[in-house]
Amino acid sequence: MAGDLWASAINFAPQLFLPRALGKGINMRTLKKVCLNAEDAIGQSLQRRMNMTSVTEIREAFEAIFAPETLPFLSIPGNERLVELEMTRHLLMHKGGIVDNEFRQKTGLRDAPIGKPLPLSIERASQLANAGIDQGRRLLQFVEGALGDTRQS
Amino acid sequence: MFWHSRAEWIRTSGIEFIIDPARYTNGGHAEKVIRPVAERFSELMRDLLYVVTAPQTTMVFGLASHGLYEGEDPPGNCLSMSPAKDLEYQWLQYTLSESLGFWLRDHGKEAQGYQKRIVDVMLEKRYPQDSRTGDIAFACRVGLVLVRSDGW
Repeated sequence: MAGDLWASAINFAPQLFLPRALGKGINMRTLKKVCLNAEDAIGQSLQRRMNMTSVTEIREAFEAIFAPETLPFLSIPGNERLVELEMTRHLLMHKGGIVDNEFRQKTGLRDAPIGKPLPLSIERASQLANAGIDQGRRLLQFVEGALGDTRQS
Repeated sequence: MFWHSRAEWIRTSGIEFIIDPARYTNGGHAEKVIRPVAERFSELMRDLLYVVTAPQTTMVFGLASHGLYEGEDPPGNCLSMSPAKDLEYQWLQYTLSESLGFWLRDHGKEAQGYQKRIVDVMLEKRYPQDSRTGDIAFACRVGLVLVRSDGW
């Protein structure tokens, strides 16, 4: 969703956002390549060159085109549950669901049993899902407001 | 059936999975830019919740379908890109055999309906060329971990 939104913002006002993105994850060579590919919208083409699979990467991508101080909701600390969601996903997708030191350190879950499968309750799954949904909702509202501001200015 | 009550339990334990696209109807950029993204996000969240609450067979099938969709691995071995390949493959085999046994024993007809839906989600390219198929594979695993953790 974050990538989708980021690309849509670029497409909405490329004259504003492209210069900002240059030098912050996107270089001129990449931009020239993208502009030669007329089949894709420029936002989607650039999005494929940005990593947005972690909270930090999403924050960096949005900071590249919006003012950093306007994005307090993607900051860490303050979003420990979102980090836990990210780490849980990483553990389940790439580590066979087995708890390791990295998971314990990054989530701060000291009770998680190293070397054993991560236990997950319905309630916990709900909390983690809601953390992702809540940030998605806030990101949508933020970009809605920011794009409105670009129209007025 | 068991997964119906499980789905109901999850729905009542706090997941707020709907982002109302109707909010973005005031014309201008909100409707043109934000609403399509909100609609896709909302739809994805519904699909993920569906997958998390689906029966085990569907989850395992979803993982296998993910591998097929990516076109990288044979059926059932969708995890070969993982650094923990052997471990994950053992886990998948365990859940696959357990799930298929359960399915064949009791729930053949209904499970087929659920499988059809996940085929729709996974294979009809509703989420082409981005990370959303990975999101669905993740939801499959969350569902399986929930099954394993609480004994449903």
